[in-house]
Amino acid sequence: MLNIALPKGRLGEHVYRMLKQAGYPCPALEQPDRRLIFENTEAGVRYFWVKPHDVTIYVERGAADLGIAGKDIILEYSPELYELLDLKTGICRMCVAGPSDFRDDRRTVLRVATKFPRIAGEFYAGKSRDVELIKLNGSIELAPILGLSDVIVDIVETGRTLAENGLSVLEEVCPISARLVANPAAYRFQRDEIEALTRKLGKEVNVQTARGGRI
Amino acid sequence: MKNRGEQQKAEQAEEMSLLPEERLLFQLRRLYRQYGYRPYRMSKFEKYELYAGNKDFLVSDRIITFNDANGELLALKPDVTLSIVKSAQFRENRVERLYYQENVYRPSGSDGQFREILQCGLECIGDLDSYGLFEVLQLADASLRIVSENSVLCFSHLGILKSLFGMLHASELQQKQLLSLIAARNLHELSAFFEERAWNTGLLRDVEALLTLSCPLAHLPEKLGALELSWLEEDVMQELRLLAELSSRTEDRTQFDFSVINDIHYYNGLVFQGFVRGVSEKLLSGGRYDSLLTRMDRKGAAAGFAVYISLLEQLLRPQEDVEADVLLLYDAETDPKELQAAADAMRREGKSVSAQRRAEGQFAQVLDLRKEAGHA
Repeated sequence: MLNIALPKGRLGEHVYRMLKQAGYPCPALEQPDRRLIFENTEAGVRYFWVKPHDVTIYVERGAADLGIAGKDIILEYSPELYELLDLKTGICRMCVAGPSDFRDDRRTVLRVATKFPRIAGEFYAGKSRDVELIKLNGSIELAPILGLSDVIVDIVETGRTLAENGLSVLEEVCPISARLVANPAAYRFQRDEIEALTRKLGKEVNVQTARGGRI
Repeated sequence: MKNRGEQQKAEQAEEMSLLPEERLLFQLRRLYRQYGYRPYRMSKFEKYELYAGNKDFLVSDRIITFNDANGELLALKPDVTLSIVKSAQFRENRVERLYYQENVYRPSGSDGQFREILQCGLECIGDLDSYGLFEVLQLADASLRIVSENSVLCFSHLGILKSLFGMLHASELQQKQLLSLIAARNLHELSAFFEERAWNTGLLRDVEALLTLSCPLAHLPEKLGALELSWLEEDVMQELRLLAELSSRTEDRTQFDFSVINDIHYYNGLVFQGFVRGVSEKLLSGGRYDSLLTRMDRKGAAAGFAVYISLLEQLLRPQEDVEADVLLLYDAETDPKELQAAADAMRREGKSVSAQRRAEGQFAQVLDLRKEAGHA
């Protein structure tokens, strides 16, 4: 039996449909109720919904054998996991954004507001740019508008929220998408099952990509 | 004087009375002694400079430090191997075999808080040959089996990676990125990494084949031969052949796993990790670390491993939550002599006894010696 942590929300629901197509359905999960754990012994899977930020914690600590996590979370927390597949869904970009007319004055410390201090810190360390990181938990776009920061480092999907707040993308840090991750210890004891699921899901990713399907 | 049989019996009885964690340590110590390993004890503190120069070798670069009365900067030990290497003396045709059981102090878990972590392990240092190295691997496997039969020892050889890096002319930074992708079995980003640098796709196929390969040590030379890795240096194959030959004569439970990686600046040959079903991370980690010796200006070669005993807390937790075998209830009216005699009699039967004035908690048996009204 494979325990799989799915992220609550639209991305998790989409990936579940891919898993179903790949041969890992769970009819109980499709019923509208408030349960959090669903099992299909025949298909050898047990799914559970968790907050997207918590998926890697469940997998790293062995409560789940597999999980669906965003690359942003993987980069930010560097959990000791296997990253087996790029699901090519949940596609977006980690970007530096700020006022359209922003010009970086290297004589001063750059103030960067972000939910991802590690990603932002490593990005600017790679450029030898002295920055002050301001960790925020939401409404990041507000920071440069109110003068809390010069720029932000955040996930950009369509760029509409940025544009509506008079901001624009200044630089791309890295591309982001959903990944299939595995606990290394679980991989050692359920290698055949995990490799079979990875293979089948990989085929489904190719089918979806060919169709141009993405969320 | 006890004869050998009696002594064994006494040892067994002593072993049975231990807590699961203590029993495990007892069995590991016995195993290491059987292979001629001697105990090594170190002090809780070491000079900080020992660790400062070798931070990459440590599990974490965060160390608890403090100033001694003379102003010297000391560290609460985060590791044992460095101390053992520091005190090692090289003698030709001889290896020093040492085992330890020590608490180390380093950040652990997702909160990154410092914890006291119990680990047990061994180091084999000196004029190390293939036999000595294979013995370390065997002991790592035997250590895992003492914990659980449901365990696996995965290994790789860093010489394979070094040959590959040489072929790719990979820079230090590229090597670091490749190592992290291989350790994460991240084939999709590996593929993109090769593509961006226009590296030979044949080499990418070789890496993919190595990550897919899983076989015992005894079969590895044959399997690697079938992959026709023209870039693989002959001395690596030579060592693997020698180890495979030794391994073929024993029950081989090892599994080749190319994603097993340790820092290539310190480790230089065979590396391995042990897993036990029910434990969510590697329980054992080790390998050959001649490069560390060189960095510390020591002659010779070395191999060893550590078993992270603290990770077994959940697995070894006793199922029965019984405080004692017998609860002996008494009150102010109970004759103390009667109480003591009853307790001693039970203990002579080998039972644990807890005398209490209140019935609370889990006990296999309750003996009520209360005399006050309502109980008599």
